Amino acid sequence: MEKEVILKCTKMCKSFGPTKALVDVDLVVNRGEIRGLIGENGSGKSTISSIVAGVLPYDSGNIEFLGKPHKPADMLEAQQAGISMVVQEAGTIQNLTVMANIFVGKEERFSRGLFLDKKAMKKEAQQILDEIGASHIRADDSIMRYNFEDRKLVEIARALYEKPELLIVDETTTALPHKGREVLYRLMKKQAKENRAVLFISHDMDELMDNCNAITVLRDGRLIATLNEDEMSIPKMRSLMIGREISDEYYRTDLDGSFGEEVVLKAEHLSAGEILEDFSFELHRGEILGIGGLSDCGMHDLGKAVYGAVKLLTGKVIYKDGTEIKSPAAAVSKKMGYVSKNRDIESLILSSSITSNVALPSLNKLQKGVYLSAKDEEALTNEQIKEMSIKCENGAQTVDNLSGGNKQKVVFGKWIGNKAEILILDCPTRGIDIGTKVAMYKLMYRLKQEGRSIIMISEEIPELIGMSDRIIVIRDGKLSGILERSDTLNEHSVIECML
Amino acid sequence: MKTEKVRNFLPLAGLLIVFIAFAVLSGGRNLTSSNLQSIFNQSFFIMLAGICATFVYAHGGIDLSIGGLEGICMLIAVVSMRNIGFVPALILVILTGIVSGILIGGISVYGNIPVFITGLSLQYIYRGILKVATSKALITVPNQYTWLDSWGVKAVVLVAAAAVVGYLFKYTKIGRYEKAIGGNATATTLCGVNAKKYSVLAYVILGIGVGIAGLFAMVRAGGVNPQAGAAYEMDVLIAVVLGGMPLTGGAAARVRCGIIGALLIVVIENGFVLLGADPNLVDGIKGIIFIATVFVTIARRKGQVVN
Repeated sequence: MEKEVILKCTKMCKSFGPTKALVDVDLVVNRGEIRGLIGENGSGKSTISSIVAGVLPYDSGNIEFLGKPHKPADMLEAQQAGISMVVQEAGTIQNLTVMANIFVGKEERFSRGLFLDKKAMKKEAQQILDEIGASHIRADDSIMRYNFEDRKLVEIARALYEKPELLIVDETTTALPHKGREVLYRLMKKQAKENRAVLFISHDMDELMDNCNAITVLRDGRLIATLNEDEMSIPKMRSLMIGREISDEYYRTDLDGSFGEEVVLKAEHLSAGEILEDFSFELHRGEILGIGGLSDCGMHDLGKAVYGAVKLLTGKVIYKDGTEIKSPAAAVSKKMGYVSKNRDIESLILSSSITSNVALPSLNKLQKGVYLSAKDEEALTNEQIKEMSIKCENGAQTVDNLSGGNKQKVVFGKWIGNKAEILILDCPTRGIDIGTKVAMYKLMYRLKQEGRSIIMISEEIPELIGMSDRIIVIRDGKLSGILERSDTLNEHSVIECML
Repeated sequence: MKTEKVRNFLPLAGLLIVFIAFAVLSGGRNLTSSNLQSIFNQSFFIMLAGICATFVYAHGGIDLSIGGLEGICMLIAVVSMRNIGFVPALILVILTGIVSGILIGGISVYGNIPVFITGLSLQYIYRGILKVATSKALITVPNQYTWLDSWGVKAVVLVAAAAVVGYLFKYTKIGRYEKAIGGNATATTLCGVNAKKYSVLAYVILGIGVGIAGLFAMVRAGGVNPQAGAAYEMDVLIAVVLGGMPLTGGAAARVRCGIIGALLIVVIENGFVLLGADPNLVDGIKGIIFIATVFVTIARRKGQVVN
């Protein structure tokens, strides 16, 4: 079959400050293709799709779409050219109706003088909803009546309404439950069958294998290879993504879940936030204590509660010397550290330099009398830059342009620099490239061996099983089970405790 | 990056350019020693408060009560100097500044009230007290204290203030903490910094500066009247912004912002008056310059950002 080119990107380059997100990427997509796009966080896959969809401008290079030059000023222009995108996060507008959401930006089509022809809007909106198999959604309902999955379907309706020649699906399936995913797969196949095209970005290699007829692999901003149908395989994808062979095990390889006897931190009958109730546990020296559960079971509140960052309704947190931890200041003085789930909002001062961020908890110690030397701050930071292999020009660089992995290294560097003995980690490897993940796990294991203690709150069960000495499972704010490290521990047993 | 460089060089460059421009346009009249003294005397009060306000602006705060505070301190200064002496007056105005700082800082931070509301409320309260106290008669300062109005004494005070504040800002953790709070208060608190305590401290330092400025203002004015200190907080705000201080605070805050900005405003005002402009137009000119500066230096996000 003759391959007809629908999208041609030549030598695409894009930088965010000193971070090179795309380097000379040549991407060609043909009609009738469901092209998978895979790469670790920081590989550039979201960047290139955002550029094609009109969300971001590019620095240099060329794009040809449908044989014509393509340089959209915004998403609306890209849509008019025939490219629509659906993303992972919520993309609907809260207080509007379903139909208003579908036609956002295009209301003039329905304007009659000063008014909007609501009947026509409703009819057309319902039509497209029915076409994609979402007839349970009523066009004139407020969008707020619908859950995340249905809202995503409305976004998909919005994207497909213009009958785009190229549909971009940017990690949408990650957050969708089974039914929504099936709808999306069906629509993608329909798009391909109608001789249009799909650019499908996902982390899930099985999903890509099942749905795509070609997969492009990106790494560190470069296009490494495009695998056609016969060449596609999961091991091949993985090794291209990482650049070297890597075994399945990147967690700890030992099965020794032992830890010291000394209790370093004790939580007694904690109640906090809306869900956490009468929660008690003990953390030991040299222990990696995993904490898991469903997303809203209260485990994130627990992390903050143990750190003194949230008001306790009942109970207390007691450090090994008997002091109660009632505030982050108290926690830090007892050599505790906290790595938040919301890195950009709670763990970093984005507009400040790496040095300012890393040295902050340690300023108390660094100040001698009434003198604080900038050189001491820099020395502490440089040590951490080296230890953690933070990719940057120097400590004076601001944090906001660093990749997710490097930002997290800055956060860890901050606590290691302050010689933290107890670390509370909340989703520590979220949004991080695989290279950094491996480094983080190695670091955690090293800290354990040095006799430090880690509480690791995670939504990823493989991570919990792979790294923890014990796993505490929370269900509806209460302790549901404590599982110990062993080779018979599998995802099933953990999930059982969670539900 | 571009905003960073503009912020660093534009204010000082602007000051020099404007000063030279007026020198040329006025045929050198702005360079006479009496005119230079006039510029210094006018800008002294704004510079002093601008320097002491560095910590407040660095953490993203603002004090809208310092006009009323200055008036109250002028009142306290004149009454003390008439009845007790200079040194007690100085101590009392400093104490008043400290108390005011604790009030505005404490109420806002521990009471969870936006600080500009607390500031406005205190402003009205101070103004009210002042009006009542001065309603009976005009209170004037005894002659023996006019030496305080000399530019030499004031220069010493200014240099001392800049030295102390500059040191605290650059060579102690206080400056780092204030900038960190301005950059991200939540992250800073989670690093173990008592953000509330340091926020209040910033207002206390400003209060002390305003208290001292009030004493000198009173001597210069010869006494105190119900309008004393009016619009002070606005002049200080415009000055620091013109001097390059980011409104939300954070890493780019500098002590020099208050100094350069105060001189800039006064030089501009002085220049226009020298050239024969109607003094009433000066407010309008100030306003235009203010918004133009904010437009150029405020961090504005272009387009959409994808993470």
